[in-house]
Amino acid sequence: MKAIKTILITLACITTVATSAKVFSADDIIWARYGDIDTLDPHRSTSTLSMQVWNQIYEPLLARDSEGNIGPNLAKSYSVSGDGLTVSFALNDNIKCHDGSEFTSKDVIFTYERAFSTSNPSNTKSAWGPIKDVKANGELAVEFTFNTPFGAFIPFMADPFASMICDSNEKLGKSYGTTAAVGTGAWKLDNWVKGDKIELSRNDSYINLGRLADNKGAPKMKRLIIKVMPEGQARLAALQTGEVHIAEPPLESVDTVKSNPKLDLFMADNTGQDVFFEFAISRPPFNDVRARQAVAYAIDPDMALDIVFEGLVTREYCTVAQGVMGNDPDFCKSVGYKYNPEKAKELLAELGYSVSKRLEVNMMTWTGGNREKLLQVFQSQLKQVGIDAKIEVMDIGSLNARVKQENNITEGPGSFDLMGWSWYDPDILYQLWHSPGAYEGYNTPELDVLLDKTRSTTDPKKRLAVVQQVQKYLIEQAVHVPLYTPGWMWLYGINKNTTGLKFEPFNQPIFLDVTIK
Amino acid sequence: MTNYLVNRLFGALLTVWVTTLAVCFLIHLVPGDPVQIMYAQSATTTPEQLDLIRHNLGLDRSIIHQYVIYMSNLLQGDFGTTIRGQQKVLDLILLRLPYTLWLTITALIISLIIGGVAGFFAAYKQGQWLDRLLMSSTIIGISIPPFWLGLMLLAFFSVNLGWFPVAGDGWLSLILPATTLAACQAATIGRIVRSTMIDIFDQDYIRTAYAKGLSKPRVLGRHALRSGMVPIISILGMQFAYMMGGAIVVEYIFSWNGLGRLAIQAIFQRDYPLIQGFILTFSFIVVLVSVLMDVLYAVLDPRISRK
Amino acid sequence: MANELHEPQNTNSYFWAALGVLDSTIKWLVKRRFLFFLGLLTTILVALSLSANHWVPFDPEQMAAGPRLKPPSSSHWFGTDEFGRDIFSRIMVGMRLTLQVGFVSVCISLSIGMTVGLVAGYFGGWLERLLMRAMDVLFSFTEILIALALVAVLGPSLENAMIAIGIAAVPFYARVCYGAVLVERNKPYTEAAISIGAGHARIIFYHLLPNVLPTMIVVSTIGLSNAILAASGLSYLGLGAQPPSPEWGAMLAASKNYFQRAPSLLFIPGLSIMTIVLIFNLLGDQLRQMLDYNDQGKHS
Repeated sequence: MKAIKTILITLACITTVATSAKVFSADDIIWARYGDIDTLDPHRSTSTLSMQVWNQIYEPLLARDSEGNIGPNLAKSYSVSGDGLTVSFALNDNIKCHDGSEFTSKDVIFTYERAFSTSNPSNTKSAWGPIKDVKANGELAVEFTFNTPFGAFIPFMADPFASMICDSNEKLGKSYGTTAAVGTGAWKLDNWVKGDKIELSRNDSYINLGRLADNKGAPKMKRLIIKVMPEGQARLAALQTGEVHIAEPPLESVDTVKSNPKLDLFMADNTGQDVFFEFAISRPPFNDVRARQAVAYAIDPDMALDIVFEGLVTREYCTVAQGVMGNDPDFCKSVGYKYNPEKAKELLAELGYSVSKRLEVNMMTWTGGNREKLLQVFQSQLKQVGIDAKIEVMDIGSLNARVKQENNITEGPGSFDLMGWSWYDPDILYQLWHSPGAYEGYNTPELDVLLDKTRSTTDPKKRLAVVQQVQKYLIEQAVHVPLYTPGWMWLYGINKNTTGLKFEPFNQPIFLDVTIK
Repeated sequence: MTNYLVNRLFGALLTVWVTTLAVCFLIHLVPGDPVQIMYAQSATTTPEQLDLIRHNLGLDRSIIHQYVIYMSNLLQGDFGTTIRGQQKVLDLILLRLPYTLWLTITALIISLIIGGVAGFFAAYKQGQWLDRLLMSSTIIGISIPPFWLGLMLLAFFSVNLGWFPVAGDGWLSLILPATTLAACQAATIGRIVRSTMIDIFDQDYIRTAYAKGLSKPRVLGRHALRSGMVPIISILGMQFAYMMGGAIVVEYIFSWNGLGRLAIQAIFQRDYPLIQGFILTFSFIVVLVSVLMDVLYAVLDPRISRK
Repeated sequence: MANELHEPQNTNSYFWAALGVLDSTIKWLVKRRFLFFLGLLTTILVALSLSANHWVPFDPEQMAAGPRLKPPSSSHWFGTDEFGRDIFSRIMVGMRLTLQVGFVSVCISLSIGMTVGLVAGYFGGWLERLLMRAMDVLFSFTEILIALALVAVLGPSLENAMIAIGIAAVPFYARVCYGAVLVERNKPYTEAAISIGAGHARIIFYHLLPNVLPTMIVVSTIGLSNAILAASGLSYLGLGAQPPSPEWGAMLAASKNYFQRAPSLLFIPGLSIMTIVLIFNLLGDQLRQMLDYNDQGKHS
């Protein structure tokens, strides 16, 4: 017995010593989030969790100021030809990639060709637009030629999805995106411990050419540690003890943060986030518009949002969110669905379902943000009209893959999901609903024609009119049922000792000015 | 003695072997196409890639063939790769295993101390109020849902009073989860110690020791305790197994970065390679400790070794 | 003359015999009053839970039945949860789920376990060695691992949790039954039955089973409480009962975010689980004491 005790105690001591070494120092910014990135490769994911980190490691050609106006960044200027078919960029000189190599037009071409590769294109390839060709005019100039004019191209060039990937990443092979990534951003990748944390360190040769910060050079702090803490209470506690400087508090504890003298609460507005219901249309029941509309009539979003979010979010009636062109609550409300369980029952009866012959479906969403709670409220509302919805929650990467899968199978119970997308332009509707679509879901030739027009129309007033037509179509067909905004990560609890945190439009934090007392 | 050891070792190997069989074929219990479900989690797999994965896992070949592939990988140390994040399963498990062991062993020690002391004194004062008090508290002890106890400790001591961190890696964060785990098992251990000690106190040799004039502490400490320890060792293996099981839920509640929490996440994410690896590791550890305890028991109890 | 003497005595003796039985039953109940009390309590609880849906004040699934997260009050005896649902109604309906899960799991474990135990204990030989080895292997998996593994592949639901827990506990019941069969096998009446040429089935069902049953019943009551703990544990993790089921473990899971705002959310479901488990543990303890008394003529 004594022998066992000694061995065990020794083991315990060794483990303690090994694990209690302090890993974080006073020059670190520590930011805790509810989930992890999917990948370090801007072409392989669409989650906000991933995007916010890419925005630290990489830079896009252009950048937005606090009003959302597009200005220079890696590209010092750009020009669009008269017919709108050619866009030229002049690059800044002396930009270095993290491995020391020069950033030139070759890297821009590399990024474009990678996004358009036939074997493994970018997840957001369609956001680039109908590009015919890209060529370099020397080391510091690039020219994009289009098949048809595409107004949303310039705003896209300021987005993290269009981050410029240095061509030196090519020789990293499979480890690019998983264990290594080379960009031109303010922070260099040190280490990504999957499911645990991402460690970034200051890029000393960084020059701020257009990002939203007063600091025109390298970040003030030495390291940026982005931790994964899925439990809301744990994040809150870490904020309160000062263990973490920035974190998203759980929604139930927002008041606790507000009343804590050591913490500030920041709410990002105009995040461009739209949370909506979409349906798998490859099989019954949701291949029939009446089933989809039945769901839309059966739910009471106002009551649900009030119960779950207690005023922290806004009811969204449009398919593009508040702050984005095309958002017009009055118009969208007029074509939308009001809570009407009787109408829902009527529609279901037409399809052969009733309160006694119940419709069983799967209802999915992704983790966090009280979305599971929201689904529970919807579940109880749907139950009243005879729809038994089984709730499934998974992380965003899994949900994205699963929705695509559900859109392709022809057997099994109907499935629909609570999805969220954030975009700065109504071009998101093209990406979601123009064939083949981000999830290979609903599309029709008429819708495609309308969506093509949203891209080719350059006159803002005419474009708005077409966008509204698209919205009306989507809402009437009940394929995109808007619910609320914002939907995720718009709340930040910030320790008062941490100053200088700024947010570029659409919820992109910038750490260049951050100092910690 | 050797016979006994060989017997135990054979039993252990058999168990481990059956575990590999069970784990390998567990995947067939999944309703639907397991490969499709697994790779629903991965954003970029084409049908061709799915077929390749199916081929690599041997799912398109006979059952025997599948098992052979699985075992040969296993013996080379390849436990597969996780679906989310593409990490090597074995690496991930080895990273988190020490935390679980740390928690379980600490909890075991605590429960042994509490249960041992309580049981001992209950036996010593058998029939009196102390005995009755301790015994009734053990019935309550085994009736408390461990996850509820954990939640309440978390709510009261961490969230409310702030004495302990809500999550973390060090000794301070270990106290609450270890206490939770220990509390429920201490009750069982207490009862067993009590009944063992009662039997021993009744024995002739104790009476002889007193008759010889030895002092109470000497009798109790040297004679009673020593022979009392042996039956405790025999159940230690089982207690360890229960604790490892209990640790799974406790880790989840306290965000303790061990194997159990990893397993729960894996189950939610349908990360089957990780689940398989977890089951294998868990079983292996339990069997290992059980064999060690049996060996120890044989060493300490000469009756066994003489068989 | 003989008739006159008989008749009055016949009716009288039946009457006195019945009175005698009643008298000894009451004496026994008084002696075992704690057991009687527990049995009565259990029956009441079972009756309440089976009829719960009919008499609870609110629909357990109705959201916004009252203001959210309110503490116990006269209109909502146990308060309301984060959706405004009445907790008292949910607890009562949840009790039926709890008892159901425990009962079904134990039935599964009992039927499979007793089969294995009886067959292994009675037939002996290679069958005994094979079955008991299999039980040893299954036993070393530990219950929770088996349950987790089964739920992991079958998918989370209360039904799957019941089955998983039922299967996971089989080795335990098998071992106990096996041990009891061994004891009975060595008793004289078994030998006697064999020597008069009774068939296997007759011996197993007519002789062994009834004598093994008391032990199994005691073990089942303790097993019932374990099953309830395991099922609520799985539901707490989200691997058992799914929303909006008012299962007590699932209710505890939801309470995690509301410690400070609504502590009743945390106390009440947990206390309920503990109460039911405690009742069954005490019941099993009393039954075991009674059994020991019967077998060995001494209290334990």
